[in-house]
Formats: sequence, structure tokens, C-alpha cells
Amino acid sequence: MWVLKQKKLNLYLDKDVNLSIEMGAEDLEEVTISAEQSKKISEETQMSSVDIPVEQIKQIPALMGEKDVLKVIQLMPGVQKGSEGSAGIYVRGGGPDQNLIILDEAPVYNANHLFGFFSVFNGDALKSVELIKGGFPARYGGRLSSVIDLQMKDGNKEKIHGEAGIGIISSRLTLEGPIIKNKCSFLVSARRTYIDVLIYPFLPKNGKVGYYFYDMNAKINYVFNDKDRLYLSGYFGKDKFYLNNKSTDTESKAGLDWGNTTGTLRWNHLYNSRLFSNLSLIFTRYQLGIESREKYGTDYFNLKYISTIRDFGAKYHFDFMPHPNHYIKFGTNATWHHFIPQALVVKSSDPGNNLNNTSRAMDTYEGGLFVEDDWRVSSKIKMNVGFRLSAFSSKGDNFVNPEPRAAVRYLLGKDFSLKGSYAMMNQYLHLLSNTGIGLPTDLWVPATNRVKPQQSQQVALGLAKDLKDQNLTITVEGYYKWMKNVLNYKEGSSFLNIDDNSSTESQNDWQDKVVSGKGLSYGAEFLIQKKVGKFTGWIGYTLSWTWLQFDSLNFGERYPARYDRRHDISVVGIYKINDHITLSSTWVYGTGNAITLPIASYGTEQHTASGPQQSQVAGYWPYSAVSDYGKKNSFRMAPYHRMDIGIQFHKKLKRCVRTFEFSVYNVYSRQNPFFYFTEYDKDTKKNKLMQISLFPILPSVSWSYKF
Amino acid sequence: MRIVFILGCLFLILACEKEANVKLPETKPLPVMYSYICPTDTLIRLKLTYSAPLYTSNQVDIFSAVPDADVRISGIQGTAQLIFNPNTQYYELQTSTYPIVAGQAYKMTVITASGDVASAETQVPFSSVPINDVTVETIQEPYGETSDRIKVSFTDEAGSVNYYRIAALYNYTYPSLIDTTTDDTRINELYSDANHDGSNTSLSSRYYMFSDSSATYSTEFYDVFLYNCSPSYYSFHKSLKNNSGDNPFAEPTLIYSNVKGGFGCFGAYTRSGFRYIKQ
Repeated sequence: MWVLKQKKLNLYLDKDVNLSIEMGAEDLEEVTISAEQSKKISEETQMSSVDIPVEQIKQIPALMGEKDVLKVIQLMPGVQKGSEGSAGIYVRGGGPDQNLIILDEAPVYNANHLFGFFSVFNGDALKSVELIKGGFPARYGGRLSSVIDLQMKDGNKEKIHGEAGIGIISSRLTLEGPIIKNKCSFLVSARRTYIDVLIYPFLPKNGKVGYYFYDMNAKINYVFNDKDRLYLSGYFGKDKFYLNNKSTDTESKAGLDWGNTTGTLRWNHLYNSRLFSNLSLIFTRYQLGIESREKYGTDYFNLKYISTIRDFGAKYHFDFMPHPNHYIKFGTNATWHHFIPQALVVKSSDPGNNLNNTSRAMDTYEGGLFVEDDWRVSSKIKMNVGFRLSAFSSKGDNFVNPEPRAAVRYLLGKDFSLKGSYAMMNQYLHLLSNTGIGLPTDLWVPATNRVKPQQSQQVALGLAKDLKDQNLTITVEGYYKWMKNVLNYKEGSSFLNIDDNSSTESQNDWQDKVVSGKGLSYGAEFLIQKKVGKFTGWIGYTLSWTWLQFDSLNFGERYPARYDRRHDISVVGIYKINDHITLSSTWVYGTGNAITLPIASYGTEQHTASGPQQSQVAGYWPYSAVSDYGKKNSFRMAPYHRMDIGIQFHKKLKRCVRTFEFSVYNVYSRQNPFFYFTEYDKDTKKNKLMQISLFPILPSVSWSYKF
Repeated sequence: MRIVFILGCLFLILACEKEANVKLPETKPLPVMYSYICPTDTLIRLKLTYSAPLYTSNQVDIFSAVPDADVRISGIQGTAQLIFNPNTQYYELQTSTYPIVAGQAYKMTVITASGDVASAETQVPFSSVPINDVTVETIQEPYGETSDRIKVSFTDEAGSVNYYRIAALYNYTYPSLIDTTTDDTRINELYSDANHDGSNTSLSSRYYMFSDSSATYSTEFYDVFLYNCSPSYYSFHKSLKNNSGDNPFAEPTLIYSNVKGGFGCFGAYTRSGFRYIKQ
């Protein structure tokens, strides 16, 4: 039975007011306080943005039961996934390197575990996730295509809470609670895979092979007083493959590991009711390591390869509300990037094999100044105008770029608005990727005088409607985005052929292996979303085109990007039958990727130095077989579609709530192509185009306990 | 828990391979022709083969010469026919009967017995560009091997877009023998003077010797060549050089072709030489 108590209060709203609500505890069994609030999308100036409730992420079925923030983001219109199972994100025609993924303000350079099948973000540790695809406010900069802003939970200030989970792939544990009640709280969350532990007993004693990943989030939140707060948060994660062999006279160890480390110290200060600030000190590092040690009697061969990017940064942001019609944000940020793109050291008992092939460490500096005003011009018009000045310095190459930003909202009627936006973005860091699937071997490198910063301009126009009674939001948007100085490897180049020293060029210089070009992406997106109620979810549809053009690729002609996707559909539904059972399902459809497929082969003949007398010259066969591919990316893979379903059973136990989940990935076992290859059929004496599909129907179970 | 893991592995193993159910591009065998002409060569020759579509049952030997085609070259001097030589497997024509002239444009047309028509055009560069200097530096490689870095210096022809290639033949004689043996060094450095018009340029490349490196030769020299090439010659060799074959991590290379109705290259060049005597 609820008890209502009436109390009369006089509030002076020109200063901070704390309200406490007194409730009759004896009459309450359970109080659920939701941190999520359904925002009116038609009121906001910001367009092209989506925030996804973390609780909803936990209810959506996932590959092998591993809940994944980035894979839920892939279900949004305007966002495409890469290959099957991959957490790579392609926003409005941009590459995965063009996403600014920030965890408590620290950029995460490689958000992938297990070659991209899982992302590094543990949903238990997250408070909020926001994706911005266009109309970027001036406070964001440094990437062309999207901002994915993830905030960790602050930690419960009242009492200890926790959550533990066991799945097929990994287990996880989260604890949060007060260190000093109502003053200082903590959050610790960790997960680790255990494939290596499970297979260990089945492996021979002298040969061990394994893989694991783990990650850990931690945060401390200290409230000094009503005006000052301090947050210290960090993330640490690592993936590792290892292979060890031992016999009587030989021993070998090989390993591949990669991981991110981030740290943020943030001081939040309230000067007065109209001005507050955030000062953040930020650290982030991504490192890839490859190690091989071999020993044959007294002979040895040791190889170590490292690639690193490390940042130290500072941000000082202010929020200022001089007038009810103006909300001004301004501030500055500076980052010191330290790169070691490639370092290869070989030490051997044979000095002839010794090698120290280290690309020079590079220190670069990036900075920005911004100001933006969310300005209510009239009862119908609201706009966010902003300006960002970005700067970058790399080995004497200096770049300064103004970045105007603007977004306008015009109310057409009740809960119905027209929105438009323009944003210019610059990106001073490039990712050299051979595959685009998020391999840890992808290299981050800085812009230089030869390889200029990437730049984009995007305009978007859309309609937004809130259907309050149905708790529905509907958005329709069109966008047009120009990109310049986007990067691609030269034909035939890869990070793997650094040893080719037959050329004049310095092969270890990555600048010689890449080409800069232009990109163009345009399309339309439709989203209908329901965040509140027994039935929640969304339907998203994207119609898009993405083109690339490089002078030295495809003979200078423009070609569709690999992830050019004409149609992309996502349907997500979550239905809470009662307090004990939740059903969920997703269905996705996407036009097949554009790839370059060999369609014929033929012989070539190089011109030789000996000319027509070549038969008199020894040691040279100038003929070779090559493939005809037609035009670049002119072949379409089969369309991708898949349905996942899940059911969660919640049971309230004495001290906790237990959730058992059974989910099925790819429920109708669609064999989506992961890649194609050609195979000769002896019976028909014809080549066949074969496909490899990764995941057929894949059921999984998991348990979680929340206390 | 082990059962769960084993089940998981089982499903991964089920990740299957099957014939793709997609509409494949329809192609047919097309003529493939290669011909490189030069005013100072004694012979015009053309190699003609057929391409093999990958997904049809046409069995084509892509290196087998096609002998029964009508091959003609046309230019300012009129048209002349190239005749198939079964000994060399090339269509040939002596330049004494049909001289190739610097600066002129030529067209090569092929009509095969099955009626396929392929043609390509090229223009011979106006002049050859002399080599200013050649240096050879012997470099110690791992495992006790050595290589020769051959560096060719020249001055780019000003006022026009030029394309260059260097090549070299390695000549050596064993002390007990009289005949000189020639190895093609396979150096194949290509260069375009875009943005560097008229400048002094050097191209270098390494030659890893196939001959017996422990032997001492009575004579040892390089014949080094600098080709001033047509754009088609340059683009084809550049794309062939970029071709990484089956490296799955490399960007696939589209091989350049200027042949209408088929594949291949019809290119032209002028050439200058330099003999470097190795001490």
C-alpha cells in the first residue's frame, strides 16, 4: 500500500535547492528508479544523434550471449557493420577510423576484442551511450564521421551493489558502492574469457596454445561539497594469443597481444548557478606486440615487434547560462600523441640475422578551441551555432583549420520539427588498415605534409516527431557528406611487405604505401523508436551511396566503397511479458558489400631489357598470369540478413535477482558470406565461386545475478 | 561447462563452405595482346593469346600463342601486316620494311579467326633521354649474400610529361671460358616526372645475383638502359609491378590495359644505354 504525505515547501529557484522525498519504507516492497528519461526529440536542436539506454542493450540478443554496445549501435540507421560478427562501425560512409570513441573522455584507439568479434566495452560498467552521426556540436572534434560517447557509471553512493554474469565466452563481475557514504563511491568491473583455461587440460604438456581477453573498468567519485566533485576512472584491457612448444633440444614461444589503457581525472566545479566547468586530464594508450622466441640447443632467434600510440591530454570545458535563451559551452583541449608505428628487433645467435628496424618515434600535438551557443531564438526556432579552431603539429608540419558548425530546429507544430545542420570536421590521425575488419595490426599514424589531414563537410536535413501518447519518436533525415584526403593503401601494398627492398623507395616509410583521395556519401535515414513501456525497440532504414576516388586506384575513376550499402534495415523488439519474462528479437538486412572479384585470368608479358633477343638472356621469365577484376568493387556480395531471438527469465531470490537468458543468434541459419574464393571443380571442369560463412544458428545461455 | 565449450566449438566448425548463390559476371575469352615498339629496334612483334573466364567451362591456355589472326599495324606510313612466326610464337615485322618513327602515333589491330577484334593505339616518345651517370654499390645482405645497387642518373626532358623505366643486363665471363653470359637483372624501376619536370633525377634498384657469387669473372659489366616510355607502357608495367598476386592483405591490383576489345598493352619507347664496367 502506498502512503502519500503532503508537505508545503517554499522554493527559491535562483539558487541550488536540494529536495528530499520521504516515503513510508514499511509500506514499500521495492522502489525502482530509472535513470533514463524519454527526451523529446522534436524539442532538441541536435539532430543525427541517438542515445541508447544501457538497460535496453542488455536485453537485445547477442552473439554468444556477449552483450555489446557497439553491435547495438550497428543496428541504428546510418550505421553499418563491417563483416559478419565484427564490431567495426561505418557511419554515413566513413571508415572505422573516423569514429571518435571516447570512454569517460579518453579516446579508445582499438575498440575490438578477438579481431573485432567483440568490443572492449563491458555494458555492466556503462551509464550512458550516445552516438552522433552529424550536426556535430563544436565541443567535439578530431574525427570525421561520428562521436560515440560512453560514460562509465559513477558508483552507488548509498550501498554496495553488484552484478555477476557467466556466459559461454566469458564471465564478469561488477561491484559498486560507497567508500564514504554519500561522499565517495567506487565502481569496479571486470570480465575475462576462459577458452584457454577450458582447453588447457586437453593440450599436450609440451605444446600449449591459447587465447584470452580481459578488461577492467574502475571509477572513483568523490564529492567535496555541493560545488566540487572529482572523478578518477580507468580502463585496462588486453587480448593475447600464445603458442608454446618444448622438446628435448628445442623450445619455442610465440605470442600476439594487444590492448588499450585509458585513464581520466575529472574535476567538476560549480562556480555559481550559471557557470560550471570540467577540467580533465586524460591518458590513453594502444599497443600491439608480437613476440617469437626460438631456441635450438645453443642457437637462438628472438623477434619482437611493437606498435604503439600513446596520448596525454587535457580538456577544460565550461558551461555558461547567461540567459534562459542561451546555453553557451566553451573550452579548450590539448593532446600530446606519441607514436611508434613499427619497431622490429631481431636478436639471434647468428649476428647476420640481427635487425633493428624501428620506424622513428613521432611526437605530435593536437589542440582545439571551441565555443557554441544553444540559442532559443523564438518560440519556434532554436539553433546551436558553434565554431571550433583545431590545430595539429607534426615534425614541423603545422595545420590550423577553422571548423564552423551550425544546427537549427524549427517547430512546425506540436512535437513536430524541421531540423538542419552543417559541420566541418578535420582528422589529424590516420589508421592504416588492410582489411577494414579491425585487426590489431592496423596502424595509427599522424597527418604529415605529404599525407594531409582528412577533412569532411556534412549537411543534413530532417524531420522529427514525438508521439507522446504512444511513447514513440520518429525521425527522417537526409545527408550529404564530402570527404577529402581519405587514405587507402596503394595497390599491392600492405604492412606485410615491408621487407621488399627491391625498390628505390624507402619501404619502411608508411607514407610511400598510401594514397590520398576523395569520398562522397549521401543518403536518407528513417527511425521509429520506442524507449519506454512494455514493448520497446525500433525500426531503422537507411538508403545510402558511398563513393571513393583516388588518382592511382581504379585508374582514377570513382568506385563504390566496400561498405557502400544501398539498403540497410534493422528491426529491434523487446517485450516485457511480466516481471519475470522478457522476450527480444532483432532482424537485420543489408545490401551485400561491394568487392573486387576476379572474373577472368590471362597471361602478361613484360617488356625485357634484352628486347626481341630475350631468348638469349638467362634467368628471366617475363610472363605471368594475372586476374581481370573488371572495375574496382564492381561485384556485390549476397545480401546479409539474420534474425536473433532471446528470452530472459528473471527471478527474485532472497538477496539478488537472477536472470537466465537463452538466445539464438542467426535463428534461421542464414549462410551469410564472410568471403569468397574460387575453386576448380574436377567433375565439371569449371571454376566455382565458393563462400565461407562464419556463424550458422548459434544458441547460447548465460546467467547473471544482480544484488 | 566443458560441454558448453565443446558445443560452442562444434558450431564454429559448422561455419561452412559452399558454392555461392550469386549472379556471376558473364564473360567470354578475349584476345590478349602485347607489343612494345621502338624506333631503334629491328623488329616489331606482337604476342597474341586469349583470356580465360573464371566461371565458364572454356578451357583456355592463357600462355598459348594464337597463330591464326590477322594482325596489322597502321600509322603515318600506312598499314602493314605482322606475320606469325611459329619458331618464336610472335607476330613479326621487320622495321626495315616498316620503320617506327619517333613522335608518331600507331595503331595495332587484331582480328582473330573467330572474329574477335582488338585494337590499341600508342604514340612513340619524341626522343631518347641520355643517361648522365651510372653507379653500382655492392651491399652486404643477411646470410653472407651481396647485392648490387644500380643507380641511374639523368636529366628529365623539360616541357613535357615523361615516363621512365630503367633496366639492366648483367654480363660476365668465367676465366676459363670465352663466351659472355648475360643475365637480365630484372630491375624495373618506373618513374613519372609529374611535379618534377626538367629536374635531375636518379633511379636506383637492387640486383640480387643469380650467378655464382663466389666466382671471380674475367669480365663483369652492366648494360644499363633508360627507357623514355609511352603512358601505356608505363601504366601497364606499373600495375604489373604493384600486383601482389595472392596476398590477401594487399589491395587487389587492377592491371592496366589500353586494348579495346581485349586485354594487354601496346606501348612504345625510346631507349638510351650506358655500359658500366664493374671493377
